[in-house]
Amino acid sequence: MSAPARSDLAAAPADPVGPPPPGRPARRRRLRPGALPVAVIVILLVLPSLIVVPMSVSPGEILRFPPDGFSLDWYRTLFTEPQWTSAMLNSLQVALATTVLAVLIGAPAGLALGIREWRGRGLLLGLVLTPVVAPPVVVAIGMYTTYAQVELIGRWGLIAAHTVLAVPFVVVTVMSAARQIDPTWLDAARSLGASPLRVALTVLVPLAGKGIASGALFAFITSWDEVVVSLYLTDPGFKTLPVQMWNQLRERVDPTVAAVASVMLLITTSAMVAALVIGWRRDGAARENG
Amino acid sequence: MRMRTALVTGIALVTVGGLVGCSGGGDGAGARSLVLVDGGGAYHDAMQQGIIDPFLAGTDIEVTTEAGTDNARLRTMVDANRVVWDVYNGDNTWGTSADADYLEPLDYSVIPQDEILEGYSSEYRVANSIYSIQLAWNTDSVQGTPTGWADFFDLAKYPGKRAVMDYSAGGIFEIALLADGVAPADLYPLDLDRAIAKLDTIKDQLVFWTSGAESEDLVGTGEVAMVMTYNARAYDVAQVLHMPVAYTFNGQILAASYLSVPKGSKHVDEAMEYIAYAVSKEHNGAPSTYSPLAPSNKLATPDATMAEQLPTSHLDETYAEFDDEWIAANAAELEQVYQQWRAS
Amino acid sequence: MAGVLTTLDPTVPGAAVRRPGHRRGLGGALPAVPLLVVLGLLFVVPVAVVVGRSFTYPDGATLANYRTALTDPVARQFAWNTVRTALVVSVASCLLGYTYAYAMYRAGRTVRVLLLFCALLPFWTSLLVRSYAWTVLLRDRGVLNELLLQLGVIDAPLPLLRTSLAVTLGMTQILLPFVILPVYAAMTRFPPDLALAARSLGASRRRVFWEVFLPATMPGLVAGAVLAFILAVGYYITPVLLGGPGDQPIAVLIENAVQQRGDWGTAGALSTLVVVLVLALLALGWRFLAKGLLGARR
Repeated sequence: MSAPARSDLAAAPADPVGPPPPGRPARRRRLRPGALPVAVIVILLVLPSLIVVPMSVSPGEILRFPPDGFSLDWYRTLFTEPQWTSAMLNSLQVALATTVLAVLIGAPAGLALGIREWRGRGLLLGLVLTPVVAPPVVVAIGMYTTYAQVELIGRWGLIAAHTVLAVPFVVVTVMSAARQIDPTWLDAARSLGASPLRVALTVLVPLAGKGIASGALFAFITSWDEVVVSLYLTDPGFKTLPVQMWNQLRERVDPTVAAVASVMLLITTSAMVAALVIGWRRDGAARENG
Repeated sequence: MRMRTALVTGIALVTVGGLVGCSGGGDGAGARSLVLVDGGGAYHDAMQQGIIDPFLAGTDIEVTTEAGTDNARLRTMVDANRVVWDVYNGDNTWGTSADADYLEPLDYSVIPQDEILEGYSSEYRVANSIYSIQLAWNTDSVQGTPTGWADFFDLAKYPGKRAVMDYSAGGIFEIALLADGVAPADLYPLDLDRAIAKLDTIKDQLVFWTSGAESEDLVGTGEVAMVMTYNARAYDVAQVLHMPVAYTFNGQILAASYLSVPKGSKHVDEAMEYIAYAVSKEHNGAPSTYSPLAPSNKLATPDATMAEQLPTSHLDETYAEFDDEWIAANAAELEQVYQQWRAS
Repeated sequence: MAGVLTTLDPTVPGAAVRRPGHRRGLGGALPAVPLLVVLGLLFVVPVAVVVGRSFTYPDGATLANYRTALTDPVARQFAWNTVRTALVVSVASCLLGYTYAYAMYRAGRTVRVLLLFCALLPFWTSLLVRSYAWTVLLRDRGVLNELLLQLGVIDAPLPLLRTSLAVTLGMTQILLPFVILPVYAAMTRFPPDLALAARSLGASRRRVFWEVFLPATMPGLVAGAVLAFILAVGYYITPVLLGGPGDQPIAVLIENAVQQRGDWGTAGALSTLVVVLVLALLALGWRFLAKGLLGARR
């Protein structure tokens, strides 16, 4: 159910900085007629995410909009109540472990898929994608019944399951990045006497670094927001944040869940904005120098 | 290149090996202990304060509690012979003879069966608290005072939406039949055709809720005029959250939460000891201090200030009871008929 | 984070280098072995167990579960709900997604990045909370109805929540990026020379769009549509929370069978049918998906 962007689909290299798009007339200042539908789509995309922020500061015990006042009590609950703090720590733990495992397992496969062409890579890619497209309920009951047989429930069960769900993102993003590596560089490095490990660490990893980093981020988010499979594999003594939110919503629909969502939104938004600003600065600098 | 791939492969395999290797867990057999699982939330808090804490004070048994009863998981545990739960506090649909393969018979030489309300103990389970399904309404949207399920189905007298539990065995057929004039004693076997016909009369006004919190939200905010919900939920939204909600015990359907012991538990003796304590006349009334949960022990004394809110204090009015055995035996058919009606 | 943005933002220059041909045969798969082992043990086996139980539960080899699943009117109804919702949602996502991607394509850099940010925002909000936010927006006494009432547009609240419309809105919001990103990628691959050539031969701008640009970017749209449809088939929480009786997905029956009755036969048969449907769609749409992923040559 949690399904972060398959960003990689957009990662096909392109060069739109080159010639302008087709049929574009001289730059016009007035609003284009297409602006309205786009504005509506933007509202559709962001409204449900933004509305949780005012909902999180409502002092009442019921999740509502508009808020009936202003209070940060729910944030206090979030950062002091053990059930919330432990859920956050558990989620962090599972998501970090998932990220590391998914990168360790997925990056080599992504490099193999991206650098050279070989028979069967289409088939392998198809298999890799199945955890993402398989209906979550089917995956959940299957994992649940098999993992329970070997008591792979709770922390390690969640890490195992999330790794499976997250690894496709790593494979695909690393593959996209690796497609831009020229295999002759590797051969050159090898022929100059570099050991395979050295080639991997000094040539491959830096070149595919961006792909690995974005794959890792998607792995993290996949784990962090996963609900359906987690509900089955969670150990009552080891709950992740989405499971705790699910329980809270079933026990009492109070603004704590909106506070969780707002904190998440704040963190991710500021990280994205920071990334943008850094990117702009670097681009600007490059342009000035170049 | 080959060296590199071998290396990466090796690292990944070791990692996976470590992952699988770490999965085993001890079950803590040996010392006197037990693991108790219930539905969590306000229910658990009432049990913790009313039963578990006093029990711990007077015993050497170590009790670990878990929130999240899950019938499917219990079955899986028993099938795999890896039972980690010792006392299972399930709802009224669990523990009938349909589940005999998954439960240990209770030891009624320790558990005082003769003190338990008629019909609330059987070979594999004993009730530890009584609750009910009742009618509640939003006092801003409803003019007048509904008195039972007939009013729930009377759109002319009480216009507005109604919310029902989205569960075939949760009482939806029962309230339809009660509203249609079936006497509580004649409810079972359920006349499903008749219930469906009655439900059809209000179908376009129905909203289906899937969690108790949702039922409170629906009636509390006035999104629906009336709701069929648990008595503890009606109490919570009206008396704790102070939303404009009132409720009636007339026509309530009594149900119970039950204690049972999963088959293959390694702490059967401790489990029986705990169950005997939880349903004893001395302690069974204690959770009612914290939540409107009625004692199942006839001789137990509930909290005086809560007495008016307990389903068992209103048995002079009309009430019905679930026939859990019949429901369990016909679960698949109920679900089939329900989903077909709901989806059509 | 910067990595994601650059991966997502195809303005980063750098064209794929040419791959050497089939040099290595199956040997190239060696680094993927750990992945195969993990997926095999932790994913394929669990799904296979569910599929297997559809043939063995409750007692011995049987096809009875499939007979039940295929003839049961409830299962048919829920299957239809699932497929219908997925169809509507993928069509809506395609229409909106293409418009949006085109706007991104035509926009300047700043606006493009902003639009990209908005498209990805849903991913940074918990799925559970997002669904509840929709209920707050759409309920009878919700934000939208109150707004319309106060503006005097309507006299009585519109039934919005627990309708197919709510499901379509909620799921389209989540699935839009899956269409936007491949479509946008396809647009950036479009050679502008082609449009210039068509224009110089006298084609109107409108005609260039419909007869040159749209067909050229169609593979991206098909890829997005297939992805949106497949993902929508598996969606469960959103339709349950936002939909009415006619929107309940097949996943509900699977879950109820397992949770309430321990009926692995029915659950297994329904699961198998859904998995077969998804795999068939994946195979059908593979040409388009693989083009985006593997970068098949033009």
